[in-house]
Amino acid sequence: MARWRVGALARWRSGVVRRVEPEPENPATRIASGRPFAQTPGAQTVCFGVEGHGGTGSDLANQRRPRYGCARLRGPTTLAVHEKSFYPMGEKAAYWVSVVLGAMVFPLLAANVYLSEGNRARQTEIVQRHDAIKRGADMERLTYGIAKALGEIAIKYDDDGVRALLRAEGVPNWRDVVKSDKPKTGKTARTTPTPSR
Amino acid sequence: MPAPKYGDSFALRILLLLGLIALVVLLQTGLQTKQMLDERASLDRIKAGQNDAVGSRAFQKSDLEKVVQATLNLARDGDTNVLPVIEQLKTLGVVKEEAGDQKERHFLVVPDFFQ
Repeated sequence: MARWRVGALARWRSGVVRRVEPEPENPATRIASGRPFAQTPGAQTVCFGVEGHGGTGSDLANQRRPRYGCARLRGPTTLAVHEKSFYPMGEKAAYWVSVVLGAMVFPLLAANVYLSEGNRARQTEIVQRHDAIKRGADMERLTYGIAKALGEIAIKYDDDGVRALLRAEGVPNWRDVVKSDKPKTGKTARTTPTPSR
Repeated sequence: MPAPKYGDSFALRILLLLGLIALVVLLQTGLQTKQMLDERASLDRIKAGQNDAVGSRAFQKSDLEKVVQATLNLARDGDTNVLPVIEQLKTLGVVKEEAGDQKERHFLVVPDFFQ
């Protein structure tokens, strides 16, 4: 596709617009920059550039000069370009980005496995502790029940042995225990035996 | 398949595709890791909240063991008044009766009950 532009010289002259072709870029500069001359094979104007090929003889400098040439192509044309890549840096960058991203996945996967195992173990432990706590509450109720039953026996049979037991096991207020219906809960309100520790 | 355009690179396309896949996998894995870390923190909080209850559970267990043992000692010393209590404990599985003489009954604490 030919690129035209309306340049500074374009003027309305007698009702005719003069289209001015831009000055072509110096091909030698373009070759040195590494940019391609033509982006698409459909371009009507295609320029080719080759590096200097060296040589011998008196015209050495001339032979080493980069060569270029442009051609206007009409109709569909296949352009074969024997070039490794116009984006060698892009390929390298993409390669290293892929490698780095891929390499970062593996430690994360390992961390995931480790965390997953740890979380499962923690869950199991929490369930076990919960059961133990529940069982502890049952034990407290049972202890209270025994203390209450022993208190009733102490009152009913005037049993000194049971009274001594209750006192020894830290239930000096066993008469209150017998009267009350349910145990007080909490660390500070222990009416059930509080043996000396 | 259309012919590649001038300047296109098949290798570049593949590498970009691979890079994109790696990025997606990385993001997904990173997200999972973050979720697991959050879950771990939450589990640790729950566990820390259980510490007090677990500590008091040890006292509850100790209290019960001592009262049961003292009651059994009373019975062993000949106090028949506590036998109904021991029978109840036997029903609950806290103590078991030792096989032996019919006149003298011996009871033992069931250790499994306190585990």
